[in-house]
Amino acid sequence: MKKYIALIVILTLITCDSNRDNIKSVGIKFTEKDIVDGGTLVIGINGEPETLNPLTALSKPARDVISLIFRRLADINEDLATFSPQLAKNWEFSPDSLSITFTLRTDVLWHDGVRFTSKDVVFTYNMQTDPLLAWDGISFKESITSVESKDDSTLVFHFNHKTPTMLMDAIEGYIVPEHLLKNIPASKMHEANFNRQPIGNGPFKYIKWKTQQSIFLIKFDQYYKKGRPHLDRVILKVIPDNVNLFRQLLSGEVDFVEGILPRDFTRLIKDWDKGKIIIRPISFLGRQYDFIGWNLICPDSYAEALKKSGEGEPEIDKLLKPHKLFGNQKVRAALTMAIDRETITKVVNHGMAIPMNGPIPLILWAYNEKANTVWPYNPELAKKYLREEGWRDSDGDGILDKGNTKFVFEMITNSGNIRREQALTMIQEQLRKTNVEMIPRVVEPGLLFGRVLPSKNFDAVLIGWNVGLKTDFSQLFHSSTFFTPFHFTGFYLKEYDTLEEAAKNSTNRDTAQKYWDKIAELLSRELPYTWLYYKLECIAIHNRFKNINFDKRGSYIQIEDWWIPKEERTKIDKIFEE
Amino acid sequence: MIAYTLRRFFGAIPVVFIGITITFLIIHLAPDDPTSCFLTPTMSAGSQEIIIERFGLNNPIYVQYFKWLYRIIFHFDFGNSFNSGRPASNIIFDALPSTLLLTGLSLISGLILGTLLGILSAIYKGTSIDRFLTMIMLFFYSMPAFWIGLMLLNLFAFKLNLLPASQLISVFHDQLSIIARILDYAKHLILPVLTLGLAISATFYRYARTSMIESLNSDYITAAKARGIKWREVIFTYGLRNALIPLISLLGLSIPLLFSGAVIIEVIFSLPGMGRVMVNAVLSRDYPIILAASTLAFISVIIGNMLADIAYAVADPRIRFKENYN
Repeated sequence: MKKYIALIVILTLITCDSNRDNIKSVGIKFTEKDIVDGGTLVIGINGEPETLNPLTALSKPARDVISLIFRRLADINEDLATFSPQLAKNWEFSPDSLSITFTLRTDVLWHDGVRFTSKDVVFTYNMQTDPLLAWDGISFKESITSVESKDDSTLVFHFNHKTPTMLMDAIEGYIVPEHLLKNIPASKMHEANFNRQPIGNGPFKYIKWKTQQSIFLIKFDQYYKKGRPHLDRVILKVIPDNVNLFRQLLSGEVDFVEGILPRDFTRLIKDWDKGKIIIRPISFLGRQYDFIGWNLICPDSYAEALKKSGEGEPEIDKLLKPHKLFGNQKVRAALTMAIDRETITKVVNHGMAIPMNGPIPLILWAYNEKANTVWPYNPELAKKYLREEGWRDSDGDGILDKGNTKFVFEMITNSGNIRREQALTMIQEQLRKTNVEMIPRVVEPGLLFGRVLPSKNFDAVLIGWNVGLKTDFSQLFHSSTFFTPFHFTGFYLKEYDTLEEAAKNSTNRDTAQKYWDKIAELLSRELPYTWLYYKLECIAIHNRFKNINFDKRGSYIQIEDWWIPKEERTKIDKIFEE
Repeated sequence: MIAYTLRRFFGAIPVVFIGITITFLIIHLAPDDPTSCFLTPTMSAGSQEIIIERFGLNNPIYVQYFKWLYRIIFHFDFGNSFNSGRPASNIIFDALPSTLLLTGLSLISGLILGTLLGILSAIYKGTSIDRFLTMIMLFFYSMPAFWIGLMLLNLFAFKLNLLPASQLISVFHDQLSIIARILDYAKHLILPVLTLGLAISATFYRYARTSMIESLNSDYITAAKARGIKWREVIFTYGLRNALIPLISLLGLSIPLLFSGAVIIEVIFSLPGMGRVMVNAVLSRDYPIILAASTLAFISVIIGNMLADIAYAVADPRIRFKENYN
């Protein structure tokens, strides 16, 4: 435990060091009067957005660009608990706490000049909850029964029960213009022309999209926050190759890049500290973690249960048999202790990650490291646990066995992720020391997520999740989602269901925290996953940009505040100014 | 000649049909699930069924196949991309000009360079010029195009900072004058065309050299020399014309290689084009795009070969006479 705390402290220091020129801490000091408008930001992105419509976007590049064009009713603050007004001026809970009344700004215009009203919000909500759209944030809207427009600037969200996340649920999702989309049915929304020519109400206005090359946005002069944005132009340049993207950052062809590989990032830090480069490396807690998911269920019994569930069989759990290896909690604990997660974290991430012990991501308010059951690296104890469960090397071939079963299993990861492939090899080596034979297998992502995991036809899997800002594990561990694709471990426990429902329904944060602590304790004890590491986000930006701030909410959150001193403008700034 | 061309054209139709049918079956029988790319844990439980229905994957494969074929034949509609919702044909036609530009320039430069050096090598067979050129061309022939591309990129774009590292145009392209825009295109195309062109030139070099040597050793060359015809005339009028005929076939056969080469080059140099469209489509299981791109690839390869056959017949009268006789 102490080791982990020490590591967190060290990494925090690294983070602060690489962030040293942030204007709020070190570097040039300025006042509001010094800020000048103008200049161009070129962002390098490694994938092209599939759409710029908030209702149909799924990929990170799409969401990032959308965040510059559209606005929500309110934004969540850095503490992930409080909110700042955006399209809504303020909001008020009803006395019974079953509805929230939002008062909207009256000075917001869409980029085509039409005024934003509450009808846009109602339309957006109706679209988001239309099953035919299959909007990916629909789980946020589950407790909302309706949205009612009182007048152009007042609307009410009605809820079916109280939850601590009512406000977060209400504001989730960017608002889209009703006047442009009202004639498009939800089932046809993904084909709309709007998807490539979006009209938003955010700080930047869409101008053009050169397919596979770049997307051009310019400052929206009538943006409701007066004096913002400071930059005239944002260009998103699509460079699919990460190596090329990094080299272009160094050569100055792009100003800002996210997701830099840890190896390149550590080199960047060294060069920045020596004053060799004008690219500022910055790291902070990101939104991704990797884990090993154990299959707790015998694949054949799952297939049988799945078939019977379709036929209306009421007692499915009686059909399920535990996995021959990982159906046993003590075996999962032994394997967790046999894996040196600290070393794996350090090696595969070049120090740009933090070992993880429990289910709650480090950035969420419910995270409490003390609540996790920690299984430190201890191969000897791991061997003891396995012996106690009857696993012995009876035939002297160096592999444990029990009856006719050898302790041999496959651990799968998705192709195209070097870190995970490297981790897989290290885990194989480490497990061999406890006489466990793990066969690494790299599978193409479409096959892994489309067939292997949903059918629970695997032993163990090493993958990762992106972290949402809401604490919710129902799709992963709650028994109600047992037959859905993301609940692939087959974990089900009444106790867990009760705790999660209680946590999600607690309106008092302290009470909710107690439940989340119990969940963390339970899951880190039961180990449907062995959590490996939580990644730091590694980004870099040209030093001429000032007033930059990044945090766990993402890198694009405050681009409207960035500015460039006139004397530091480069060729590209000048070309566009001319 | 017209009859010959028409025969070749109608003969190509079943080949395209069989090719795209096989591609359709391979894609649809693959053991993965295209909807998995569109699912997230924050979606509702029924989302997968809705997405399956939206993509038309709820129908049996034969129904999907006949619907797809009907739409292509009668409406020239390849369906909409699963990923972006745009018509597949629009995506393909957006990407096609860049690929044609890249492959066209590479083919022309590779053909000219390879043929000229091959002829030079053949004329000076056995000399140090021949040995030097053969060594250099063998190097380009054996090296994978992506490696050559990376080396050129590293040297000219990153070390010397002389040429842009990616894309077809600068982000400020629209701000430039017309001449500056042409130069901008040229600057961006030098490295990718050089990479693909060198790989092509090595192939043409080998064929041109061998063919020219064979030609120069022929009886009619000996006869021409014996009649006292000038050396230059013997080489260029008698030798070269006959030596070039096999290169016409090679030109047709190079089209599939060009397409596959363009895939790698477009990814390395972040060029917009068919290669990147295909790679992204395969990675995201975007069936309509994969099928539309494959169909286009089939058609272009067959047309390429057909044109080569026709050109061959034009260049060598024996072919068309034989066809007519048959």
